[in-house]
Amino acid sequence: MSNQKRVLVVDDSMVMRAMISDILTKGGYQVVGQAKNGKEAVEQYTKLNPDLVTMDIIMPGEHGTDVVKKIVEVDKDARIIIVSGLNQKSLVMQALDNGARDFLVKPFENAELLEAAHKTAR
Amino acid sequence: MDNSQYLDVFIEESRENLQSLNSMLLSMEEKGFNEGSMNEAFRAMHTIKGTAGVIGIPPIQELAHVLEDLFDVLRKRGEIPDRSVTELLFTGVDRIERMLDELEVSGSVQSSIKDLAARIKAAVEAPAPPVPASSGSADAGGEEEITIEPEELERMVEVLPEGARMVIMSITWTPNLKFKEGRAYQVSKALAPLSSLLASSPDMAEVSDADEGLILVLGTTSADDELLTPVRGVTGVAEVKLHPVALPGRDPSPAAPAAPAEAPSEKRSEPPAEAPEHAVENGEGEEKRAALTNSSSIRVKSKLLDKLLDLVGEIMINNIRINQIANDLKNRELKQTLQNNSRLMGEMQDIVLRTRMVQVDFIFKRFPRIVRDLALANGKEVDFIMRGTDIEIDRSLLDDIGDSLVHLLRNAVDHGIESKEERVAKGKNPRGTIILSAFQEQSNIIITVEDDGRGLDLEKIVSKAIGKGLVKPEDVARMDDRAKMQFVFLPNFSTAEKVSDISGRGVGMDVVKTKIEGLGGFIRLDSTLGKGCKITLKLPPSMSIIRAMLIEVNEEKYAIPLENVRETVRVPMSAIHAVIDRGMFQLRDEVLPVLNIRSEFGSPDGSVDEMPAVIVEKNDSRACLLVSRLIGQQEIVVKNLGKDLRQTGYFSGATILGDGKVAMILDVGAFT
Repeated sequence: MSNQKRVLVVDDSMVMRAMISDILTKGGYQVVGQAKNGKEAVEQYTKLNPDLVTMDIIMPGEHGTDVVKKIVEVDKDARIIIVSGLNQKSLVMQALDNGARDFLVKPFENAELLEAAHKTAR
Repeated sequence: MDNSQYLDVFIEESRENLQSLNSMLLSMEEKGFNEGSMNEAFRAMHTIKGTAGVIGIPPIQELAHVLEDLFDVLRKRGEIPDRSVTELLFTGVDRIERMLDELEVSGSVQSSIKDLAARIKAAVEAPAPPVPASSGSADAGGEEEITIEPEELERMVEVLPEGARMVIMSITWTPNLKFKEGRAYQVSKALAPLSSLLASSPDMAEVSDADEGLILVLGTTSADDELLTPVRGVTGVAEVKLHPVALPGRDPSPAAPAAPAEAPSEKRSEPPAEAPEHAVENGEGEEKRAALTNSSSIRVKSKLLDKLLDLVGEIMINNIRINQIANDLKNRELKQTLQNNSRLMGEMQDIVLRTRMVQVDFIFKRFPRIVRDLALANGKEVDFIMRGTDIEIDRSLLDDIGDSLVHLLRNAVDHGIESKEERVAKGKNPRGTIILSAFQEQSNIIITVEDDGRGLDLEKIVSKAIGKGLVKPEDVARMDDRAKMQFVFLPNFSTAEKVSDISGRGVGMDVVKTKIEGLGGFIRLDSTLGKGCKITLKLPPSMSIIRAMLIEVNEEKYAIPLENVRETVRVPMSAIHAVIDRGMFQLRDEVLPVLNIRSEFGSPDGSVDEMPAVIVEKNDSRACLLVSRLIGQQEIVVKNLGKDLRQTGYFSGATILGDGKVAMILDVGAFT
């Protein structure tokens, strides 16, 4: 059994999903799933029960803030990092209120993502 | 991007930042370099620069930018700049202030700042002067002193849970951390299960990326490590320290480690539970105090509060009407419910009034700078002391008296305080003293401006008044000193030999008097020749809702502010004696002029044996007003009058009564 931490990457942008997955994989994480909207995210979370989720804050349909809430309703111990743009400060606060454990502001350095992942993952 | 909707906020915030810049510069000029203040000044300028950039006001952004650079150089140099640099900083701050004014009026800034910016730039690039060995009062290690104001501490102790101790947590952010507000929020969430947040600096809602750190005041029963561990886990926290706070009458908690020398407060030995009269003297400029603001406060537009107060007033008026209807209907249940409603409304009114209260410091804090500039311009040396800066007063009232206070301070510096030579020759301290105090006396706010200068020269005043034809020489002989002093309040009276730059464009004491009395207050002048002068302003606590006595004259209702009512009596017509052209009435050992407002307001005088009367007083003089009927006391909401009605001189305002009718508020000053 691998003791690699298992990660679900949620982002509506394919580029971002690829980048985040890439950084995490190189950092020793196993990206077990990707989702491009809130509905997929909740489905995947329930199926995969990952150790960590990175969640884009603005997605078509449900925002990351609401998805955080839904996932936390499923799993109180869910470890979610919010990935936000520069002008989404109030959404970040809301996501923290809803149960996100940490956040990252784009553009971020690889090391920032890995540090947050390290702190947050189960 | 159109950012015009943020313009108001930008202007307001920038003014506040300039204000604190002014105080910090003054304090450093007086007390020497202080790293905390310099950092704070840098931060304030940085904020102005940043927001001006976002809003899109290039001249302000540019000027703030070079000033920020200059502050940066100075704080790294760690010493107080010489006078020419200080002047440059003041000039820069003033220029930004003027550009804000321009922005407010016209929506844009046209003025050029090229010259000034170039001068500041030159100062930035100038080599540092040689540093004398003894210089440098900067704290080693760059620690800021954390100070909690006694009254702030008192407030926090009140909400401190039983058995909890108080600690200060200081957090340093990692450099270049983005969105510190979010990190601060994470910190507060991490601490929430372990402690209660009593205050923070900056306010949690005002954390910005320009901050170097965050200071929290916590009430907690948890051990230090329990608090530190979760905070260390928050991204962006480079360092976190705890300092115990000594509470009055309690030992610092044994759970806390030995305190580093800089924490917490130099004022901790002061018992905080003092009456407001013993409030801080901070006029002499103080160390940078970490402005610990209660974390649960929010900003509200004052216009909204005005509107809210108006609405509460209208609801109360409506309620009185409903009460009358309920009385007519004789429905007990309805009446009881309404009684309950009245109580709630009273409470609501109280709270709305309280939300409008601000500390007088809100405007006082710009005065040290004004006094300094005036003294400098006059070549005088003045110690300026402010007392009771924490006294709370209705915001609208405060805005209204600001100019008057500036005028009084200007008078004190220009005409009150003598030149150094003159003071020495008189055997006085070459430095003059001006004291501005605020305190509460019953429900009134008293503000005094006191100087130890030459006092009023009554002979000069009298000859001037005669010269201007304001009084006849033969009348003066019968006047006492107090009456003679009153001449300075007459329009066009001014003994000023020159006009100073600050607000001194022909504004006289008469304007101050009119203003203060227009607000329902009064002004009093005390002076001793050669010793100094003291001006006392007495202000109502809030100008919007007052208690009044309602009277009826010829079926019209009028209101008299209760503070002007001394008593009510019944006056037999036979007891009124004609003296010269006025009726006089002897009440106990006092003879009062009698005014029959029924005839004053143009109605025929009915023939009665006896009439109810109100003994009114204002500014120590009294009169007896005859009325048709006394109705009773009630709270009224004061509405301001248009110019025409105000000019009659009889009325200070109007109010709407329970039956929806308007009642005029009598200006007792017109009758006494």
